[in-house]
Amino acid sequence: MDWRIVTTKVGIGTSRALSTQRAGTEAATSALAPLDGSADLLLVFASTGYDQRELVAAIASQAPEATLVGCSGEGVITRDACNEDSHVVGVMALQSNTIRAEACLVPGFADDSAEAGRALVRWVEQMGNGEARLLILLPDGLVGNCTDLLRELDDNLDIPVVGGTSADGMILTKTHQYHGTRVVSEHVAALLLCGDVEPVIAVSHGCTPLGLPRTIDRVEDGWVREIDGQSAWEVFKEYLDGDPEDLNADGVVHLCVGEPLPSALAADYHPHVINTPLKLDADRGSLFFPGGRLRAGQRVQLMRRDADEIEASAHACAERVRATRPDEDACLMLQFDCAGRGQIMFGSMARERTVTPVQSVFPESVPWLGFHTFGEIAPIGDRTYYHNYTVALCALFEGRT
Amino acid sequence: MSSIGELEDELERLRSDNKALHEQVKLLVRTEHRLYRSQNQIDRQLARVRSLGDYVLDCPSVARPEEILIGVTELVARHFNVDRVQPYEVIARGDTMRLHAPPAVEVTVTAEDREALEALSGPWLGTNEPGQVFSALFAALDAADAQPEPHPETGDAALIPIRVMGRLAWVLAVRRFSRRPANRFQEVPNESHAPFFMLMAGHIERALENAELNHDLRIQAEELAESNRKLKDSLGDLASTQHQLIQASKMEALGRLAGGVAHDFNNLLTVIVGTARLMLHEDLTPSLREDCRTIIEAAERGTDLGRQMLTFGRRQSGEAQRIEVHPLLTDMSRLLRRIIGEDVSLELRLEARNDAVQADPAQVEQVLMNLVLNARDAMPHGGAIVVETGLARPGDQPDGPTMFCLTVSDTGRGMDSKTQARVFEPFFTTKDVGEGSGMGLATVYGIVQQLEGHVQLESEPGEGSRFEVYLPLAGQPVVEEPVPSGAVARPTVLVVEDEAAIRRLVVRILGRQGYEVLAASDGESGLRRFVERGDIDLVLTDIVMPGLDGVGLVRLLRRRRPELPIVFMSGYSGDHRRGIGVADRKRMLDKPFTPEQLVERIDEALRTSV
Repeated sequence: MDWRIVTTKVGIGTSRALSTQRAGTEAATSALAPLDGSADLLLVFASTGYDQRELVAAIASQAPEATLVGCSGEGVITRDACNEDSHVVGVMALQSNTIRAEACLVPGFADDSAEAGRALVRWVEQMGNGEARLLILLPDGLVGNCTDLLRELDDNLDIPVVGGTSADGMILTKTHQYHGTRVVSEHVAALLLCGDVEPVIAVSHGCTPLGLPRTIDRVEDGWVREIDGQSAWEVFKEYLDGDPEDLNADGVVHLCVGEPLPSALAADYHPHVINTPLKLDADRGSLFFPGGRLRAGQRVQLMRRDADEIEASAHACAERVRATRPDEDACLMLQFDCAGRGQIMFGSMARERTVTPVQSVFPESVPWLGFHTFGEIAPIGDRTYYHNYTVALCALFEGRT
Repeated sequence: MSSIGELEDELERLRSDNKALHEQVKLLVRTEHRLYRSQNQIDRQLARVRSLGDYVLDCPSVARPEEILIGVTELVARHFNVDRVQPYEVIARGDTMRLHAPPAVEVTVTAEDREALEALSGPWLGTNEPGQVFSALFAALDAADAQPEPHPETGDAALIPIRVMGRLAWVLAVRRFSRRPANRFQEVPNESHAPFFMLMAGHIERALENAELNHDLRIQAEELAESNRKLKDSLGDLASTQHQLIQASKMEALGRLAGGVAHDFNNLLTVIVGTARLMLHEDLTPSLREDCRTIIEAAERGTDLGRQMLTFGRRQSGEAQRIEVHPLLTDMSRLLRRIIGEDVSLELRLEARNDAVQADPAQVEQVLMNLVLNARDAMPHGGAIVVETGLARPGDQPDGPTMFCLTVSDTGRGMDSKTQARVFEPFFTTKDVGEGSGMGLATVYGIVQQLEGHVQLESEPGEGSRFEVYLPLAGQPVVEEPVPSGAVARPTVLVVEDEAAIRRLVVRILGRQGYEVLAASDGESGLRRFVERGDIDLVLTDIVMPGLDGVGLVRLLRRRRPELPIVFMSGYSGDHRRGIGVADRKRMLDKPFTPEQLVERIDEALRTSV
């Protein structure tokens, strides 16, 4: 019989208060309550309705000794709610003598994502000290090239990477990354978990192919100019209602591009990895895809989201995580879910269609925190991918198998 | 086997079908997109209405209008992309209208904006630009807004009028300057939201009206509670008054009893003392002479007791006159300091601006003496006595006239409520047997009642006692006319007395003094004797007699001889003396009296009569 002392405590707190100070204080104190007021780590996700610096300072002041890391998001996911209000904040407080948490902000992500990746590798090697188990990334969701960033990590580290890019309520203007009381943009916020912890990660989407495969003709710095000889925007508009003049939130989440996976990987996942356009250059008819993976000459598949498939695949994804340690409860569940799969897709049924099917697989006692992202980061096979329209689940189990 | 041409035709047909199918797919996807957009619109409306429903459910428990409007402010801020939502209370007086927001924002509405505001039948949603309707109002509101940065001149704006009982009571002002980041579920207020804002305004109006009604109900409940409290107080006062009435009735009954007993007692004593004194003029053995003196001594002690009983029963004689109390108290204090002993201090605080009362000085002295001695007895181990004067109204007569108040307080052992209830009763005492007669405070009570005053007592066990004696203030002094003097050589005296023993005694005493004495046993027979003889020089009459009493007899006699000298004798005082003139009252002979007092009073009356 294996005897093990559970030494990790986790608390979750949220607030919807309109007052920034009150919201930060409420969420932090709720999260800290089960930990008797002190923590080693505070993981924070918040909407951009708040003054970001005031919010982070209010949260940090409740546990000055803790490492604080996080980012702005489209909404906050907890056990009790899936909330995409303009004013919502979620805080996870962790206290452990077996899990060590290190955090940092990596600059230069917008200018040279590969170099940011290399800097991150160096930091992980230095801080991990041979005990690194999981790297959680929270990059800016509007700039940078996640593919370049992740390539550097995959090539140089042998630990799993998971996370989501920061968001700003679909304003598509500015997102924020937090570390300590610092609040920045165009950075990567990173959280390294070391020690006696094992992550289990799974990812899924719910998109189905639309028409025949297409070929990307021209790409410049993430901007897809032409597909099959047409401007990218013209191709998309053929499937959008009402001849739209700009790429509003509804349009963003309606269509996407599927990048075919190698057959070996597709067997365990899906034939395509999803890419979604976030910005429109109407004058040039170009669409910006933030993942940075699309290139000229690439064969892609136009995809549409499918509500039933989204729900079913998310549930299956959770089942896969649960199946890895069926007799053991995770000490924490993290959920990185696409901003396009929540309320904008399912309206008032967002929680029932996207969150409940996932959470129902795990006992209610498992602490849960997540946020709606502009892009998800999760591995498929031995490579880490930047995704859109997916849910990435990460279960943290104390102790190693 | 198909020819190439057939295959090309088939290929072309398939291409055509594929294109058509692709167009159908596009159409379906566009339709799906439209459905999602509609669903989003419905979801946003649903979320707003759901929040409004939650707000409405919360409203019944909210009492203050400010709290109701804070809830609305949060609702609008949460669901719409706005920078400011502020409720303003509408204050309209005469030609001016102002919008007020706590703590100190106060904006005056121009006449033009006021007219437009009052004409609004629903929410106003528009862009505020200089020169347009409400531009002046929003400029003033923006200027009053306590934001660190100045507002742009233009911006989206909305005004939601809220009426209470038909009156424009509040205005909800909404502003957006494109400064706040949008959330994809937060829309900028526009005309499409008018139905929602109208619905919201309706709910606010009902909530405010309910709050106002609740407020009125609460006020009424508080008024009722206050009324109940006053009623309870009144009931308490009534109970207290009832208690006082019962106490007064009891004291009155005791007074009548004491007075009646004292009257009979005095008659007996008059006979005993008079007879014994007459016996002393006889040739007695030394032993009998000594016995006589013992009888007289004992009877005279009885006389003191009878006088106290009469005082309690308000039947003691005594001539009320206008006196100034302060000099009297000062004089008395010298005597009192010697009596109370060295371990008890006596302090006088004579602060009354007017110390003139209508009373017999001896009565006031008696009151002070008894109260001070009572205080001393309450402090066997020493203490302090304070005698104060002032002008005040009795505590139980707040609307009564101002009176002279004599207060005697001590630091003694005090009294419990049971003792206080009986302290003025005659013969009630807490002292050991033989140490007190129990008539001291009863005498005080009797004197004060006789003077138409009040006496009040405050005391707690261990906290000392405080007696407050209220006496009516005297009017202006009256100058009395001097009484002319005269003399009669061999007077004839008519004695009218229903008590045979006294009548016989008086006849004996006056006969011994050389008077010619006629006697009658009642008023009627006295009148007959007076008419029969016609040369009566003086009439000595009892006051209280069956049938024609002394006062009635004298009234009839004076009709015949107005100058007739009269001497009244009585064992009563107070009411029985009504109808007796001032000069006659001065010659009153109180029972019991000694033979010497009788003769002196008769001689005096004959000397001073005309």
